[in-house]
Amino acid sequence: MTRRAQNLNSLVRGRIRPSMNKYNLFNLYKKSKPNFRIMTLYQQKWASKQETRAYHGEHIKEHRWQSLFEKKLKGVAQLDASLKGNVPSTPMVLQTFASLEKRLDYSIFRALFSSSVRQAKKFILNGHVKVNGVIIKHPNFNLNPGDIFSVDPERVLEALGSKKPNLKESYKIDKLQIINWQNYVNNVKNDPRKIWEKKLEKQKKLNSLYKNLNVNDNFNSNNLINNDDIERKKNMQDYKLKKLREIQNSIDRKSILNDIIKTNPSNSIDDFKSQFGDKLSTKAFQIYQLIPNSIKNLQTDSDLSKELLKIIPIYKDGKPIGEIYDDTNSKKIRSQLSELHSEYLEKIRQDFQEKPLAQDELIKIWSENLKKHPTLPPFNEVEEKGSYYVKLPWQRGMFGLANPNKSYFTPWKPRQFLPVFSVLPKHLEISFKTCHAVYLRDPVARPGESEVISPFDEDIHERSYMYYIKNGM
Amino acid sequence: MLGRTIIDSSACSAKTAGLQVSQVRYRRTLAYPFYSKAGNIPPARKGRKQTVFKRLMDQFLGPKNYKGEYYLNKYAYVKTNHTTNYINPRNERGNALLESLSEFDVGEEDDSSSFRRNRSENALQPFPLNSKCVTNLQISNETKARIVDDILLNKIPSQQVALKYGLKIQRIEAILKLREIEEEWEQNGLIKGDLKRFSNTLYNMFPLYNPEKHAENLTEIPIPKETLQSRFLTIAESEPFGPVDAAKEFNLEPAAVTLERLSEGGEHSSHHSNAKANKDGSFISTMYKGDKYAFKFTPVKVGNVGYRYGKVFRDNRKDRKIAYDAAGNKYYPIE
Repeated sequence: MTRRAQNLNSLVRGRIRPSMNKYNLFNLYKKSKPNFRIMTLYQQKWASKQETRAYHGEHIKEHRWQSLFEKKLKGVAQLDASLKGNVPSTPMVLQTFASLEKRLDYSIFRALFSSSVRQAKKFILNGHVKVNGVIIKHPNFNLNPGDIFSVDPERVLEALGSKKPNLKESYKIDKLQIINWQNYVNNVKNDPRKIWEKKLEKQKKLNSLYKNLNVNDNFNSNNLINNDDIERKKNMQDYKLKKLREIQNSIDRKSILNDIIKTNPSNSIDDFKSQFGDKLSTKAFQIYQLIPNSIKNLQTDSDLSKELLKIIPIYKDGKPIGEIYDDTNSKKIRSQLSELHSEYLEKIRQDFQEKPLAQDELIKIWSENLKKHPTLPPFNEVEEKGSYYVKLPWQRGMFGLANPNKSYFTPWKPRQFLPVFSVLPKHLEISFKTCHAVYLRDPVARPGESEVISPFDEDIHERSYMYYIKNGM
Repeated sequence: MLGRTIIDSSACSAKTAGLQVSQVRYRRTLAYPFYSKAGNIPPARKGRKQTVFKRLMDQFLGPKNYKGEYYLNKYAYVKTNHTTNYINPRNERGNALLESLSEFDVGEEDDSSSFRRNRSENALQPFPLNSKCVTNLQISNETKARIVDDILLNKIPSQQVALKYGLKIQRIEAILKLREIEEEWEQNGLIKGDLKRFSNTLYNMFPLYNPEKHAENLTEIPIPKETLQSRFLTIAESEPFGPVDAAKEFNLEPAAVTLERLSEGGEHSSHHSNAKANKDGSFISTMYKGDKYAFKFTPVKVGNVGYRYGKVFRDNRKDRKIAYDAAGNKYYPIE
């Protein structure tokens, strides 16, 4: 039978447990070494036994543990030790609880497939664990070297993921997020530049604060920053394309010819360079030379447009409307103009691709694309329906309930304080991709190191070992 | 002491009597943090009634944001650059926040920095009290792929691969086994979505193994039971006496032989032959015309199987020995 779980994570008692609980974290953090100097030998042994047993096989009753206890401790000798010289001593006493590490429930906890040994035990009893492809329902199943054990990935994700919020909690958080978002959009519309600068500053600060930490990309203290880079880039591309089309549509042969005449160069190509670039300016100049002087010297715009219509007429049903110049010179102008026209459009497109957007433009695009979120329905309606619609730049679907059928926070994110408790064991080889692990061998002690994972040092383990070998008791 | 005692009156009387050990039958020590000073009681969380311990814990964890995350605690989030994030209470003394909450909090920062030890030295040590416990290093995906290629494509025996990468043979065999499972899962499209996110997160939070820097010791053999005790032998002063003589004296095989034997195991080793040898001596009898079943015969010793007549049969004993059969069912072996 399992030991009763009563007040396991008491802060007053302050024992360290095999668990990833946050209370356990604080108990681990504040732990000090027992002061053996003021204790009798038996007190020392008793205190050590209390401390170590609270971590090693906490859920196993004392009598059962004493039947599992092995007096003989396992260590390895290194044959090249004599070549190295000055080899540290082997901490054999840290193997006191090594016999527990063979157990299936402990191996699952060590392989980081569960958040506590008690949870690992539950996984086994509920049939989520297989050893060599066979479902094993006994937490004290002893593994042999070479055994492959696996846990259902859904259970592992649940164990190491954040807690799934219920509908009410999700709703509360989303409501707050949406209110903040609306305020933010309002502020942006009022003064985009100021908020933009504030945003950049904040992003910089957060980046330095959370350097190399896996903070969810949606994280920030009031969630006002649009981090969805892909979306933003897409928006900018759309805007660029739109603007490009506008410009391209406004250009035809007539407008180019008009531009050429208006430029009125003093017999040199350079004046065309600002508009047409190096390559096309010669072509533009050639066209300019072909144009008869009578047209060049026209003063008013209306006269000029009339003349231009005669060179480049509007076609209807394949036939030009009105009077046209049909001489060879005009034909030459027309053919050269159409060449220039297509090349000029190509040039504009290239320019757009290469030219980055100016900051003003960026801010404009960004502020124009921010849209308010529709307000959430009242909670009693949501409760009846079971879900509600949320689409924020950093979040699709309800908070933590993107897939409400899963038993963990979706999309998955690691539970808090996971790095403190994640210790890779040396006696297991783990594949997190498939939630499988191989039991390599029983953990051993070698010079300067012990493979049994324990928060207590040799002093405590030594006294604990003394307690269990029962010499002189 | 683990903390301060709550029975001050009795402790006082012991002190006045000049005794080190207070003479009380049951002394309950409260687990105060080692860094907290007497009388230092942090304020309670807004609008709540909290015990002193809960307040100290909240002070350590820091504030929560509206999503319920301890967003300022430096241990709350996992790392993404293959480094660990283990606690270091001896230097911080309770101040585990990424940035101080107010300008009044920064007072103790200066005096602690004077004896700040270099965390990078024991970055692999997860528990501050136990310097003998270190986390394992993770083998990178590229190294794993190379090991698999070496063994399966280039057909290099596992002993040579073990030497090349500084990894024990069991670990190399395990990598191969897991690789097979991973490939099968990938083909079936099972590694996706949240599981992929999970495995990437965990891959990024553990330090990576570098064969040149962290090679395992490949000359390890289990310490024989006999050598744990001393044995005395009288020999002449001129008589040479080395490790091989000692092994003979203990009735043990020389360590080099043990090491060689240990490295022979494994499916991909050079010693492995494809002909499957029946170590236990079992065989399947030939079937003749009209036989319905093929019989398998396994030699066993009387006493090792079944109930031996006259043996004490205490099936109501507490904490009996437990064994499991191949199907994972539990049974009580007859002792």
